[in-house]
Amino acid sequence: MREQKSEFKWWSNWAPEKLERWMEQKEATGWHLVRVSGNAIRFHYQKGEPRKMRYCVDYQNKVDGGYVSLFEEAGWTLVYKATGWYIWGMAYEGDQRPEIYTDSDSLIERNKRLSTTLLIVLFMQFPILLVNFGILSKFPLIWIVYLVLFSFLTYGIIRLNAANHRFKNKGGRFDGRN
Amino acid sequence: MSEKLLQSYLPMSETAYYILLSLTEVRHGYGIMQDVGELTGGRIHLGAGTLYGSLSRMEKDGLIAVVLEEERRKSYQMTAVGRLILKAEITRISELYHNAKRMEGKLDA
Repeated sequence: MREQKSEFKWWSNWAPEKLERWMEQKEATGWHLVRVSGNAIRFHYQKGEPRKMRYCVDYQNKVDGGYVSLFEEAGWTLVYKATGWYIWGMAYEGDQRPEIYTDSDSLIERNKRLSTTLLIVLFMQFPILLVNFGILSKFPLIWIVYLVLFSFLTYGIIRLNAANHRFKNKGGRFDGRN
Repeated sequence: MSEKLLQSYLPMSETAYYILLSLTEVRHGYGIMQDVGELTGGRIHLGAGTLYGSLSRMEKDGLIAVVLEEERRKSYQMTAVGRLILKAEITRISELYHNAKRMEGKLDA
């Protein structure tokens, strides 16, 4: 029986490249990803040989069957999928890290999809708050929870827009992620 | 064809340009990746996410159409609208090219 472990990893959905690096680092030290669970924050590993793996996080609102089959043909393996999030993995050799997005335009599009979803979630809170105002006002602590949630969503939207601004300034050419 | 569509695609990104060039013949997604790789001598490697996004957008705008679907794998070909837009882009690039060639010699002088 090979050694196994699972780790919790919190990551910001406006900066998935940090999660990607973290996952790739694990593989480089010989921890092979077995599966991802718990809303993509729990990562199960099995000990093996160090290997070069590339992981890419994608966000899609709605895709047809062609999405998965195109990625699979290109050599990617789907390691996680839920609520619009997809994590793709691919073993590689050499220094060229495989990428799922190879121009700024498509990265900008991905960030736009994500920031639209965050905006919708943000605005959905207002009618909920209004309807439940009577009940909620009895529990002052709930306002702190909402304050945190609003800050979180707003911060995410600002970060995504800032990233898109950088991509736009760089023009249509793609040369690295940051 | 609407002016709006022309304006939104021109000038074309290299990604869109090579996808359209490749779809003068019927090809599926992975076939496009390989063809564009060959056409550019390995310079442009289309990522799956980039290609999927471009194909979806071009299909929605009517530049390309699905001509065959087998086990979720779609094959595409350029439509008449796509041909018009690609021609407009080729005209634009030709102008760039001819002016570049005309001036090239003067640069070395």
